[in-house]
Amino acid sequence: MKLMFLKSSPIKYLLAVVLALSSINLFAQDDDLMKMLEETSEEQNEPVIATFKTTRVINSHSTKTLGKKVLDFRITHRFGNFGAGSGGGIHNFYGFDNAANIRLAFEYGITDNLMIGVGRSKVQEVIDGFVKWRFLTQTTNNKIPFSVAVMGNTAVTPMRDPTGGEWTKFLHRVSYTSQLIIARKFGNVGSLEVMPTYVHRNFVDGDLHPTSGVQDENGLFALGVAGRIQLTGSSSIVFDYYYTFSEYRKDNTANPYYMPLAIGYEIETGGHIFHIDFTNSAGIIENQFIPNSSDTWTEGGFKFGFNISRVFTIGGRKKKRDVEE
Amino acid sequence: MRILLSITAIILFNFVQAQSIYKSSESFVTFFSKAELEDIKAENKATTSLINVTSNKIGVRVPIKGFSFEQSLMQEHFNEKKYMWSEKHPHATFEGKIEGDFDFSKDGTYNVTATGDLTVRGITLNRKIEGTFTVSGEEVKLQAEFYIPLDDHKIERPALVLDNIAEKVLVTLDITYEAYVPEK
Repeated sequence: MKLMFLKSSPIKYLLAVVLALSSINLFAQDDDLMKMLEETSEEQNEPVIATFKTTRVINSHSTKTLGKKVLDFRITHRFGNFGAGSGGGIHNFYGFDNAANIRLAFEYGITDNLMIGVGRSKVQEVIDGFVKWRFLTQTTNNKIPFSVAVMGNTAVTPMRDPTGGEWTKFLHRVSYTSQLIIARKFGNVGSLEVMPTYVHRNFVDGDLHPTSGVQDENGLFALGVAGRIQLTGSSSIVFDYYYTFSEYRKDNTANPYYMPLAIGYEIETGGHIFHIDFTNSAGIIENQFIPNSSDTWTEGGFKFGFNISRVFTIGGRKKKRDVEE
Repeated sequence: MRILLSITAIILFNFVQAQSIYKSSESFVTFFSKAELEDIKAENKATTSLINVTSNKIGVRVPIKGFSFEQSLMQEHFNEKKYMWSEKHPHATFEGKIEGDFDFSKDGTYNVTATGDLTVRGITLNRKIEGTFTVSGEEVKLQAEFYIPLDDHKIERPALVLDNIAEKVLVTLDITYEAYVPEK
């Protein structure tokens, strides 16, 4: 009885047509398997890879950490000042006769997101150890728009006390850096990162600012910016810069320090990554280049330098990762 | 009453149509490159595939980032522009027609070939690929093995690593299918 209305023929035909259309629709859909596959397969929340090729941009840390069981041997070399105005020039072959700083380091990936490293620099004979942990990785679907890492280091100088007895305690030789690194990769164009940073030196010189009279700060806040512009698949232009917030460093004519700026070219060949760069800082670790870059680009105080990174996979091979279906 | 019958028939017909689709429930895809200096292999469990047994069409979709390597550095290189360029070409696909006799309702082993478009790194080639269906009860297994010549898909073999990467890589597919009802 309820189906009585179906007896009126227009509705009957309409219904038949609608049903027939719906079945055609299903047919059509069934035949386009690729489209169906796209619709039915849930896209993985995939991590963005190669935001930076190596764990350093030039001097700065990048958000990259070494893969698990990967060992990285790094040589960071800075020649002397390039320009004659800062002691370089033709008579020491634009700084190539000198070595402003050399750092040799072994760095190792404990997990795919956690790494440690130990290095030794020429400047102040400083020995540094650091831990870096990347706790967020940018994803292709932008659910996580940034990669974020934290880096902490401790550096000790074993050099003979240059102050003539002011380093009364071992702790006077120690400095620390804590840093947050926030990076984003912009497709195949390049990557950019910012690094809010705090450097603490247990001992600072007692010199006062010539006009304001403030003393050098033990603790310094700095904000770093670094980037990578991709040229080809394996080469890029890289740069990093730090702005240090410091009263003592403001227009200090007696004891000037400058903001460290480095520009370089990065090339990757297999397991090697080379950087050739120019930087005004002699320091290679944050504890030195953030507070104590005493040369300026404007007077030729930049140095030619290079970074070499050679990675090895050591120990057992990487455990196979199951991809969630 | 006739109307009711035809409605039932159409609905039933739709249902039968739907039943003619088989969807992958499990998949295991590997590639293997055998070169003078180095063997490179990787595994992928994220492949999806559909077979329409009415039209005999097959579609396979392999997410490139789903390949897992023993060395993380290798995996990173594999995804780069020089090799697979997975950011630009996230999937390798095959879309083709299956030839040869097979019946998913009868247990047995069927040798088939599929002819169609193989797309790797954005380059589509017409390929004929041989495979085997093994039907046991509700489950259908597809096994296939074929070579992909790297040059054909514009995958570089830089001079420096010429002895590390084979000219063509062997790809194996092992996919299990189940009858699939599309959600409407």
